[in-house]
Amino acid sequence: MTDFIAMIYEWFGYQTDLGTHLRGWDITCDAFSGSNLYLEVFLIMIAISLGLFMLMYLIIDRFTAKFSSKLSWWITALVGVAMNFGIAFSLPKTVDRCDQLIFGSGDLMLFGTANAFWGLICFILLTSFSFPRSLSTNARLTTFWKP
Amino acid sequence: MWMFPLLAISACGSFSLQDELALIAGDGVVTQEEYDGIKASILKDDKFAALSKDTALIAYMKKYYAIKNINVVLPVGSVEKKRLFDVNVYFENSFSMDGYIGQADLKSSVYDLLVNTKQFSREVKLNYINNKVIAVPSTDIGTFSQMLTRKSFKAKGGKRGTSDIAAVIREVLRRTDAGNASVLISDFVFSPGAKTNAVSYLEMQQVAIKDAVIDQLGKQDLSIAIFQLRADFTGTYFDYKSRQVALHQVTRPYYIWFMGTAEQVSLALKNHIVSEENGHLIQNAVFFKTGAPGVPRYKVVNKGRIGDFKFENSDHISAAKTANGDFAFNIAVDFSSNLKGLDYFSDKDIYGLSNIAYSISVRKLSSAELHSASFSGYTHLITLRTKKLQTDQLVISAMDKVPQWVNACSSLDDSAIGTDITEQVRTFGLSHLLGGVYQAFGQGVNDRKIIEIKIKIDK
Amino acid sequence: MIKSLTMLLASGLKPLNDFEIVPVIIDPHKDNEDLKRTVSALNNYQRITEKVGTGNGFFSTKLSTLQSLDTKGSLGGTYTFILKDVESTKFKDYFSYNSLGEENKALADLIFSGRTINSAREEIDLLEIPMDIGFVGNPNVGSVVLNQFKHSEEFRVFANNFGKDDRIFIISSIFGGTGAAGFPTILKSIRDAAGQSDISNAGFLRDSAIGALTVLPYFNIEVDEKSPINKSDFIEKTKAALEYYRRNVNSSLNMMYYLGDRHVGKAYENDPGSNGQKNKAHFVEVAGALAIIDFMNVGDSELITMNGRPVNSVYKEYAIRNNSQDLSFAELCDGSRNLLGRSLTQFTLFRKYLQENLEESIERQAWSTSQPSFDKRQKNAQFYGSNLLGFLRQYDEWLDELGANTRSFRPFDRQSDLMNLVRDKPLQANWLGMGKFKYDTFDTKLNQLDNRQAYSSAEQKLISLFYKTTGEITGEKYGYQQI
Repeated sequence: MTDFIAMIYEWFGYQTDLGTHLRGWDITCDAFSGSNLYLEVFLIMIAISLGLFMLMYLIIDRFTAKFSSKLSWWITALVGVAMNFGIAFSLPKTVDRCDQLIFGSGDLMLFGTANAFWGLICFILLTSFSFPRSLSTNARLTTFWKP
Repeated sequence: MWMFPLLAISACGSFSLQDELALIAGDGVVTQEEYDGIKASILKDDKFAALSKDTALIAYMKKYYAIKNINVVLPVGSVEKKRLFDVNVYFENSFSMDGYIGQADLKSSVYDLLVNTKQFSREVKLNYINNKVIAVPSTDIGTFSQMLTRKSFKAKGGKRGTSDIAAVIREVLRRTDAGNASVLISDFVFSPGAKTNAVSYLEMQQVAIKDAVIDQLGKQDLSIAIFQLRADFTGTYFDYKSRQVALHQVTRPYYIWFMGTAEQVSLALKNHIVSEENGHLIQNAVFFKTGAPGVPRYKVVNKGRIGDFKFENSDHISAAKTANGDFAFNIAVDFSSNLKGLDYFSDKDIYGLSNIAYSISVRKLSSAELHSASFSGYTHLITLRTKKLQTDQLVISAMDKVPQWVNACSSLDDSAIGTDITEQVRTFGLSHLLGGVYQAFGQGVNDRKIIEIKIKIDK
Repeated sequence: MIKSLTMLLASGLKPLNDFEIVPVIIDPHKDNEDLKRTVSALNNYQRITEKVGTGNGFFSTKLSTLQSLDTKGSLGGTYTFILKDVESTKFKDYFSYNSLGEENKALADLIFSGRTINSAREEIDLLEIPMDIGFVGNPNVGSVVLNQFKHSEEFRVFANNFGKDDRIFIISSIFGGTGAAGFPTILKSIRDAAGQSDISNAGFLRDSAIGALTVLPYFNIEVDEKSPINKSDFIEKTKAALEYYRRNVNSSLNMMYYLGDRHVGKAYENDPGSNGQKNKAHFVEVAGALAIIDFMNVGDSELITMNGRPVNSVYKEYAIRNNSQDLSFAELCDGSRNLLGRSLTQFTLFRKYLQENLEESIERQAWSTSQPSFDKRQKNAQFYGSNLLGFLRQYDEWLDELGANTRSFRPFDRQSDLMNLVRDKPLQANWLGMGKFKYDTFDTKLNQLDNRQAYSSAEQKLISLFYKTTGEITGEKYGYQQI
């Protein structure tokens, strides 16, 4: 699972060392016994996409019909993009890294971009299929792409 | 519905070892229960297979807390039982040793040696030796050291004229067993005599020494640590043709041999039986019977590489790529537990590679590096480089060899010792002396690999 | 009255038994503005039901022209029965007075004596009345003329298509004019149809269930000496007519409804008709429409007629709860209140939404974009643009007139916001601000209900969805029970 996540994120071209750190190369530089940041970030990304979906399509939807338009969709998607970028950018730094690994802000930005991208795709997929979109009352036809 | 994703994350097998360690260290003490709890969590997850042993886990915890600068008391491991044994010290008191004992240098070194030996042995027994062993009755070591004078040597008697080194070694070994380790102090200078062919003599001695050691190896698990020290020499030097050469205030080498079981030798080395700080010790060589090659702690390190690769494990790298055809990577190795000593492993000639397309270089880790989290606990850095990168299981082995310094310090013609300062730091016939010991330990052994490191490389 | 009935049927009021209604309006007033407006509304209604059918809540009763029955559902026909030979004809020429013998002439003179006023406000003899504006308050003239009805093509078509379970309802006013004259004549034509050889289904006609509504005076007319219509004559003529009915008419009827209003309020323009008699809608017409519905709700077993004589006759009147000059739903008795309140509120909400919020929601809200989609193209198409909007404008006009009249019927404050629309039940949000009725709430409900079924076309979706949504809203907000 981690390998798959690593593969799709590493397409964005940041340094191998950041990938090693994200996989959980721990502070003693001996083995992958540190936190699996790839999994954490990926799951948080899924949670955010799911959460934003529920917010727009189910929660806000219960109170008003005003935020069910395409514009709302884009705003929600962009909020997700910003959140996912921010989390991916800042989370790796909070975990102590093996001092052998060298990576910088540029790499973190690429990682952030990767997470934002996949978060957007996730949101698009969530809203493209008729389930679970059909659970909404007012936004049930609001989608980026109708397959 | 909000909670599910968060629960999924936390439940997703993400026991974070580092977080747990930081948590339990909060009160400054790791109790046995907390330790057991961590151990239980580790055993559940394959990720931590390497830490499943107590020793490995404690080592990791120590390392981790050191890096994080956390002061914690760890649960006490099992206490090792001490095996107590006696040490017999034999001081060779032939005429050639007179030049040393006039000075304080050697005496203070011997005193220091005896003091160190007392720390790990039950009883230290003192002796002189030339063609026979003369026991020194219960004397304290301070007095003994003081009494290393020409006068007392004369008084002790024995045939001080010639020294048949092989015979001395044989005698000392005869008196060595599992409960009695031996220390032999001598200049170990062969004296073929004017009439004998030097080389033939040395060769004969070499065989005799080899014989004596093999015999002893048949009786016990034997290890020999040979220390080369320096001391001031003022007096008469007998060259290989037994001509007398007067030397005045010349720094000359002499040797201390420690013979015992591998465990006893290990204890002696751990306890620094010959102190390093006072500048007298030059280097050493350790011999022991090698079985299967040992595997020290090692890991591939990230920095300093040429090209790129990903870690699968600390000994398995994948997705290796060259940079302009070149590929190089570093391995950190911990040789601290090997009796041969750190200097031995810094010599790249002792290493053999399974793939000849690679070149190897070795160095000790600098003290700055040793302070860093990634290198602490390791001693050496091996660099491997190639222009032909391919998927491979690379095996790096270190062989048992006579250390290079032996040859450098050996002489076959010491006649010019009076004037030639390069001769002054050499010992006549040293190569044959240690060669005999070396051969003895290689008897019956097919390949003398002492260390084997395997690295898997996937392209 | 037909207009009020049309409006009520459009708003979803429905008889318990599923009837198709065929209005036949008999009025020589070709230029009668009121008639024109009624016919226009009926036409819009019919076009709407053609497009979306009658299963949608609103517009749920079929209205057809007499002729369309014959041609089995094709368009065409009118709702009016034009009296022959009345255009620009004087009464005396109608029955060819001049060619009568001396004795008949004398008889005619006797029967039709009296003076009246013509359209130029000149006093003339009764026999000289030009008839294209009705009989100007002279039922004795009218009854002669309306006798032609039983020989007309329309009567034949009517009889041909008359079935055993069909019912007839005759609406007339008792005071002067066309209504008073025609009612007994037509009733007699139907009951005695067996006597005519060229009429089929005469047996059904004779024993059919017939109800009638007689409207007693409810409006005031300006005193205008120059007009042939004279207010004081109304009361006298009413009494005479009622007496006549009692003796000759009531026993032929299964049910008889009386409606009137003693209130004497704002006077109508005293217009005999040539400027287009445009009477403003009055609540009595609404009550009359309720009478029609009531008649349709009566069970067959209570309307048995044998040999042209009903087994029992029932007489009904209408009452309101409070004698107030300004009626809202609260002033009506429970039965009317529930019926009218629910249906009219639903339809008015529908109207208000389309007027005020459709522009915002179209092509944006899920109910609009879901298949079949009701988009801007639909909005500009004929169904919405001319038929539905046309009808709704007439509905607005009808409500306005009802409200402006005296006694006024003004259940809605149509200019206010959604919270205060229904005058007798203003809505209130609770202290948190929740429960406010806004178009947002409306949209949410539309979206919610839209999801629950499939529609055959966008137009059908519009009608059906809004019926259901307004139904739920009236249930939730105003407490009306849904059917």
